Amino acid sequence: MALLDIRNVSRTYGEEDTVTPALRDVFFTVEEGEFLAIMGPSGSGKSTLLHILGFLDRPTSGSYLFTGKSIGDLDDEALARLRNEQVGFVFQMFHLLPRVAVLNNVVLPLVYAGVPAIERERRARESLTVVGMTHRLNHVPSQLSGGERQRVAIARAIVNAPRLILADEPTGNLDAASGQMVLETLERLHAQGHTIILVTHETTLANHAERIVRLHDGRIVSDERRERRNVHAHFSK
Amino acid sequence: MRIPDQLRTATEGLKTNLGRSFLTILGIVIGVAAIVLVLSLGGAARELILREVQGIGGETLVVRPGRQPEGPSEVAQTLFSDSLKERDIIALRRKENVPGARSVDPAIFVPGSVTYQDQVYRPTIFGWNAETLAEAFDITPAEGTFFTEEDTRARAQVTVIGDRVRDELFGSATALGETIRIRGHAFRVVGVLDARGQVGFLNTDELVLVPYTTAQEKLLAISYVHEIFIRADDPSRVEEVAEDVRRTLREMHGITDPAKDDFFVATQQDILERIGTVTLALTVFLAAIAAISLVVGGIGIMNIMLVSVTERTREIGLRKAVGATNAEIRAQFLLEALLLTVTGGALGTVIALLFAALAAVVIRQQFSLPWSFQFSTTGILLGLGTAALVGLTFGLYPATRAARKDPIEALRYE
Ligand SMILES: Nc1ncnc2c1ncn2[C@@H]1O[C@H](COP(=O)(O)OP(=O)(O)OP(=O)(O)O)[C@@H](O)[C@H]1O
Ligand SMILES: [Mg+2]
Repeated sequence: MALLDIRNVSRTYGEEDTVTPALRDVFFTVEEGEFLAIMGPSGSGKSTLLHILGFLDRPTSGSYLFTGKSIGDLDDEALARLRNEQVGFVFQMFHLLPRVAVLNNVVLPLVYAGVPAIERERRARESLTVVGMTHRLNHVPSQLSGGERQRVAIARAIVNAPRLILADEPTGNLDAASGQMVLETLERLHAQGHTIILVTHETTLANHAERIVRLHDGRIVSDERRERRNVHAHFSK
Repeated sequence: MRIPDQLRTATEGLKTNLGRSFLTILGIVIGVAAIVLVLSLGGAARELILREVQGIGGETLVVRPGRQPEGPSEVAQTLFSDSLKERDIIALRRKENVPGARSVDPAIFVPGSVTYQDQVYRPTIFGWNAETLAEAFDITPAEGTFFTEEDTRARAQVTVIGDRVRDELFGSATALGETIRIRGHAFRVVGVLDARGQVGFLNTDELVLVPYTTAQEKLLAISYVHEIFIRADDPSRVEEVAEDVRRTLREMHGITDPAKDDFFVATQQDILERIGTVTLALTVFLAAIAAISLVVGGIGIMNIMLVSVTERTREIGLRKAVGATNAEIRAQFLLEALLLTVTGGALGTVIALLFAALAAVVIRQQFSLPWSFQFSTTGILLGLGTAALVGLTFGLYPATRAARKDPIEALRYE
């Protein structure tokens, strides 16, 4: 059974005369443990698709099965719980809470999961170790570089041990070196068994994925599986 | 989400804008302080008045002519009503009619002033039985004696004067044995009262007492009495005495329907209850006016919370993305509003407490009244309670707005 299975999904914005279709009749499945890149020109519906996959948005029509169960009839609260337990988001804009220390930013999903404080902190330190950010626990985001901020955001995305990590142009605001570091982190997470869906413009980044889905004007125009490259050999020195 | 975490989230949210938060709660501080202060002062005033009235003694009953007055004009009417006569007093004094009565004395109120040589003073002139009065108010003549029953029978032109009256008319000279003029009639001073000050509604130092018979005949030329002052054997018999008095007077006046009574009996309990009701109503009224300022404060809270919700749109989006439910977002902002107003309420309560204590000191010193500093837990709870209510009322709309935000649009918000 596929982890994600969307069938005939459409998403339109606006009403009546200003209707904008962002996704049209999309069929798409993702298996557990895949590393998938979504590519396509600006406005092709990549973010829209990612938001639907991450339970932040609902399709206008069509169905979405998550681990075989339809999420169509779930209420907002149930979707919030799914986001909390099953998904880790990484955004282009980082979206860290300003004026809140790194450690407290990372624990946020666990706060909403109702995890006790001590356990929360232990897990947050663990995730920060994964992204190599344990030396900045008490810094606030404005004291960090862009790359560091994104690594903190990744630590937050994985702190609840989600099945699914969704990254929307995570390197879009970073220089090449920071971007590589972020990508390397994602690959390591993939190697640990996380399912990763990465939205990107850049072919070089997409080439690290096992599978590339291309969108154009809200439709999937290609879906190719690729030979998996050994990134660890490539990056580690 | 755990409750301690909700509290922590809310306090952290407030901390980021401490200066602004503080300014916002000033309205609440002032409103709550005003309410709590009014209630505290009102309570102290009521206690003071009630204690003063109780000074008259719980065994006291007063019979007045006319109906129970419901307003100022009716109070005036009772003064001109002539339904209580000498024969009523004689009937009430009969043991078989009112067995529980210890004393039955008529009282005559005499308007006017007294003079001694070229000194003029406007005291409270009463035609009364001096001894009963002395017993009821616990005062004795410092010099001389009270006039006697013989004086009353003989309509003697004798008087007992209060300490202040003596001062005003005689200064340091001797008053005893001198002749003063009351409404032009000559009266010999036979006694001067102890300085006792205010007792109940009466300042005993300003009294000029004459035999009631003299007051009726010589001073006012009336044959009725203004009031009958009755004391029961024991405070526990007051109700019984009141009933006996009503029955006797109805018999005397040929009244069968109590609704047509041409007199009424007021016990001290009645008076206390009336005063209690009036002062409480006044206090609540003033507190309600003060509460208006809380509404203004509440609108300030709502305004600042709306600003905060807008400023923190992206934070709301992010919190939702990592799993916050709408209810949790609403709780967060509602709690922030609540913390703001309750902090304001606590501050306001403390300020009211300080002012009430200060007022107590000033009133005691400047007006030498036995004013007490009142601060009940009810006052504190009321202050915090109203503050919390304001927080919930005015925080609900901004919090609901925050909760309803679409996560994606919130994350995109610039
Ligand atoms: N809230 C919205 N209201 C109206 N139209 C929207 C809204 N969000 C997205 N769209 C439209 O839907 C289409 C798909 O948008 P989406 O953000 O998914 O594109 P994208 O592929 O992520 O583009 P980019 O690479 O620039 O991020 C676009 O045409 C966009 O204008
Ligand atoms: Mg996009």
